[in-house]
Amino acid sequence: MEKIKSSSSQIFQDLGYPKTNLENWKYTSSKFFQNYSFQKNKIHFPQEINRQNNTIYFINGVLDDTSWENFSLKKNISLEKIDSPVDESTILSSQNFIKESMFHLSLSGVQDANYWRIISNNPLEINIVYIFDTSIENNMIASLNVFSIGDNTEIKINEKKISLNSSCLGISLSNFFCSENSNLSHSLVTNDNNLDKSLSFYNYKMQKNSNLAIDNVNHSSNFDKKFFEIDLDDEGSDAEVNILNLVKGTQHYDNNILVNHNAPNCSSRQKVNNILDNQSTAVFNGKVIVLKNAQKTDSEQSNKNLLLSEQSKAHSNPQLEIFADDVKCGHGSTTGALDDSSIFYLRSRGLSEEESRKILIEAFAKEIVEDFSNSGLESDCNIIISKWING
Amino acid sequence: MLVLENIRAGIEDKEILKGINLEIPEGEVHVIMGRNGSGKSTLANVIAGNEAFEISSGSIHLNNVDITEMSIENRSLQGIFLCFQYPVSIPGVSMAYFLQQAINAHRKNQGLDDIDAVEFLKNSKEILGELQLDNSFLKRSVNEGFSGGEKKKSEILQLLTLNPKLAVLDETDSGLDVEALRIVASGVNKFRNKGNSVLIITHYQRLLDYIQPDVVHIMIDGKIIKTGDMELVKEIEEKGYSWLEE
Repeated sequence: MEKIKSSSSQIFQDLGYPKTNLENWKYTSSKFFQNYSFQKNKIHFPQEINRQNNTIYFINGVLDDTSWENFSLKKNISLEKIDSPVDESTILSSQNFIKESMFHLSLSGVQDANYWRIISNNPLEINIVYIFDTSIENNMIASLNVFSIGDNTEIKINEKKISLNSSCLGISLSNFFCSENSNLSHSLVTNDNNLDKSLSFYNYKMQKNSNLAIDNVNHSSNFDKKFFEIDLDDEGSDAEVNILNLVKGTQHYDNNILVNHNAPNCSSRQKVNNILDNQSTAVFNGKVIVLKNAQKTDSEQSNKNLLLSEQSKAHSNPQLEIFADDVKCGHGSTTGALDDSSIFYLRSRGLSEEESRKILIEAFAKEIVEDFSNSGLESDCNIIISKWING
Repeated sequence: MLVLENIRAGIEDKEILKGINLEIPEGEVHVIMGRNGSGKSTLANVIAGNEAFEISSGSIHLNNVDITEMSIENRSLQGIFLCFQYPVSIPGVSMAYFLQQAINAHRKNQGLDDIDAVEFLKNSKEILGELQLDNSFLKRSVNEGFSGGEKKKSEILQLLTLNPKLAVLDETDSGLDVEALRIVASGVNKFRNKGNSVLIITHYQRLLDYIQPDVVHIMIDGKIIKTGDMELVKEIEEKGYSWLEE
């Protein structure tokens, strides 16, 4: 691991901070990253957090040993530390991320790296909570987790980031190797005391007939940039991504999603809805690449942006690169304000203009939440949406 | 019930209504007929309170309350209901949620608590049955993917649910087959009673075969130029509108 970190550090020094001439950074300035640095933190479980069952906690990027000791699903989940010589490809699995200088900077600062093997005949559900509790100013904290999900295993992984103070930059690096017939539901729903700034890299390697669903709601960070790379590497694999960004103030949310259709008969669907108020900005860079042998690909990509103020901005860049000839691929992007005729229609039934606007905003948001694979998230998400709209 | 006095109104400096005087007493059904572009739909929108149209002079009173300057939602709360010619689709908002929100807005205005969910479902199912719509209709998004007939039935569902004082039907018969027309007309007849009024805007006699109007008005170039009864409708069917301009 140290060798990989050292190599990444060198690569970052060669590449430098990303500039706006790079497609993935065209509308997101990397300048503020330069004020942050990796520094050692105290690792102790905060008193204000109540431990939950089947929950693995990371404190300032380091696995909380107690949560693992008390973990009740050990017969299905085993843990190895990535501190001995490892196959580099488990860490550098994404061909896209290894071109990103910020990926290398993040990797060079990882304090704790874990390899999780998950095998089960019964459906599992676990929570992963990253707690950031540091008094160090402009601290950058990164953690690396590699998940190997066994054949026929069905698992829901609910991930949260909690910040108890400070304005730290939290970084997650996560790779998921999904074996044959496995089913992964990965939810990322932010909470009120989410990180001030968040950067994430998620790579999913999908084997034969495996299924992936990503459910994501972002609403509380000031800065959030996520890279998703989904590699559909074998026949019959399927990926569904549903992301809702609720953005206001001067918040800046940026989603980079790359779906590689590397095998025939695979399907993918991306839906990203951004609701923007005040001076906020959102970026959608979505790309689907269909290789020549990936015949019978079925792919859809949609980005919708609802602008609630004249100062808010949405940058949408949906892309398709198709090298196969027997595929069904669609993509679309819309950006606009609330529809006046819809508001008029609702008002004509006795609802005030404000109530009408709220109903339409809520419907735009719920369009994503209703498609979440983990239906257990719905009530939490509805509360988030309602609070955001009425806040 | 409804009194319009010398209403002049238009859109973007173009005057469309050129002095409309109209009185619809309680318990009566009035019809306005006219060519395309004569101002019929503008009149419906002006009565409902569509802010896209500007009233330059005249007044509108509903039950002796001046509603000329009133917002569209307040006119709804006062008892005006517009059956839209082209109802908009609202993805993600279910019919059930929409109806409940509308009912509760009216109940709140009357100082009542929100409607009980069981009572709402019971009432809605009864109306759905009369309109020959399945109960699953309530789960669908407002007007999304609705056929022409379903859109108009949805308008009548809302009419019967909100039970206003005045219903303005803006070409509700357009795009309907005979069966749907019969069901929609039956819904309007169910709504109709001595305590409310109906204004029907239409091109054709066929809706009036099912809903007998009390008074018929003919509108040409933003003015009501003739008023009569069903005999006038028959004359229009036979001779068109040209003879009225002579």
